[in-house]
Amino acid sequence: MSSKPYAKLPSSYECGKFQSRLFEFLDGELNPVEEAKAQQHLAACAECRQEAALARRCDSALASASNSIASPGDLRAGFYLKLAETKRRNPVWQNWKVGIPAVLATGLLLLVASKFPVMSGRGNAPHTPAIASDIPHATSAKESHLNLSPIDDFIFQSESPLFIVKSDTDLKAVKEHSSSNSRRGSHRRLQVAKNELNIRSFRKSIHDLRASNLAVLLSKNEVKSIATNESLSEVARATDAPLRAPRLSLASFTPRAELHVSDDERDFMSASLQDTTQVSKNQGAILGIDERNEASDVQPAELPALP
Amino acid sequence: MNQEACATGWTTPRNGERTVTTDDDNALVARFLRGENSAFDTLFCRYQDYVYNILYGIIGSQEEARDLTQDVFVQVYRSLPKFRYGSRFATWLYRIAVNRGVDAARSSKRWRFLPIFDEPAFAQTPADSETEPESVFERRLETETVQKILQLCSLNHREALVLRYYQNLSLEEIAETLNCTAAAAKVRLFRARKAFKDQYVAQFGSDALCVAKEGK
Repeated sequence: MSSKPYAKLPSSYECGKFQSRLFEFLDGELNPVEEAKAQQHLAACAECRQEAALARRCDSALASASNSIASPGDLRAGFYLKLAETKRRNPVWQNWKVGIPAVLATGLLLLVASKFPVMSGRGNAPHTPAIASDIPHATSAKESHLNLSPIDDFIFQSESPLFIVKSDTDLKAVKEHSSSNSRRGSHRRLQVAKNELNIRSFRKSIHDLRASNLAVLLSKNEVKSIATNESLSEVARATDAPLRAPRLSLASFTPRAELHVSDDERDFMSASLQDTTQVSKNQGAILGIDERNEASDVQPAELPALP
Repeated sequence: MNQEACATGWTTPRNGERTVTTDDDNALVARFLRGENSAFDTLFCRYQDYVYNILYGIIGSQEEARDLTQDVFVQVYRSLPKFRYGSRFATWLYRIAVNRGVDAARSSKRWRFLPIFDEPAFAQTPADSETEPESVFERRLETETVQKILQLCSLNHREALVLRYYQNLSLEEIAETLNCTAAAAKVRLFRARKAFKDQYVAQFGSDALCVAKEGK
């Protein structure tokens, strides 16, 4: 009898039952009684033994495969590029919090303009289409959407942070700055935007970029344009007028955010400004500073080392 | 930016290896939400290999998995303000990765081919390659076969297998990631293992049983 232990097994414990509990058996999750029955069945049934061995083999193959996957390497560079690109592709008007009020306001404005044509300054001309530029308030709104500059932008990446630069001369400046900090070897340049920027989306992108710890170079005229809400051409016409200090201008277009600039950051800005003006007279500002809305005790974000 | 913190994050997750404490992750998330981007950098370094392994297991292409890993972290970066600490950060991250991988696999199901035999996807152990080249070759062949078989399994099964074997998650963690009960996760994993075994037999044919005998 002892040579044929399977003869004692209850008839219910067949191959089907064993195989239905196979993985629990392999994982050691059966209770002692079931475990003993399974062991007995396994000793008697060659087919189930093979099934169990095969299942074990699959388990070990899966486990060893997971150990053998090569690391993908440092994926951060591509991540930060994608992040910047995503932000550029999702302008502020796609955000419902801004987009819906903007659409409602525009609709209301058009409605008012059509009901009260006198506001357009054209007297009683009810059939004249009221275009936005006829309305004083809308005129300023249109002005605020004037293109800042359709010139090429580049993201230049040393390691971190990223620099958004507005021209090749800026790129040269950042490269020099970067190489002076021994950050060669991982230079990557990406053409970001040839499309025209408007002030609103530009502000948003600047905000996002700063939140991403990016540094942005702007021309003095662009800074003034943003700060005063004037078009670039108007700013250019008034070039004789003395420009405010770039940093003050930068603070003025982030009215809801208090600007905290540490000494290091201030030094970095000053140094960058000096570097930039050596390359191009147009360059006026760098936005790499850390912006804080609330907590003033937060450590400032990391900035590239000073040259 | 945060090289020191990153230095520990580049190893491929191994079987049995656990990541970090939930508190640590939550602290990093909180720091990031306060404006410290270096905290996100640390999270990225810590989890990029885990996310990559999930995506590679589901997709089967290294290049696509790299690309999707970056996409996942972009999504995480943008969604972190919505993170409510209701679950572990890692579980939340894995869920995003699994969903992204499944979406990508579904969208490219009709035209995607399996390039796994063309890519050196698996790392060789230098010591083994000198002393036992044949066994290393066999091991590499087997791991490549595993990846191929995984791609033959259904997405449902693949998810469960990847989370169990590539991520070494417990049943409870798998359930949390897949948003189901532990019992449902157990059933799914059981079926997945059975499906994998069937595909394994189909792949090796009669050799599978010989291999199994030797393996035992």
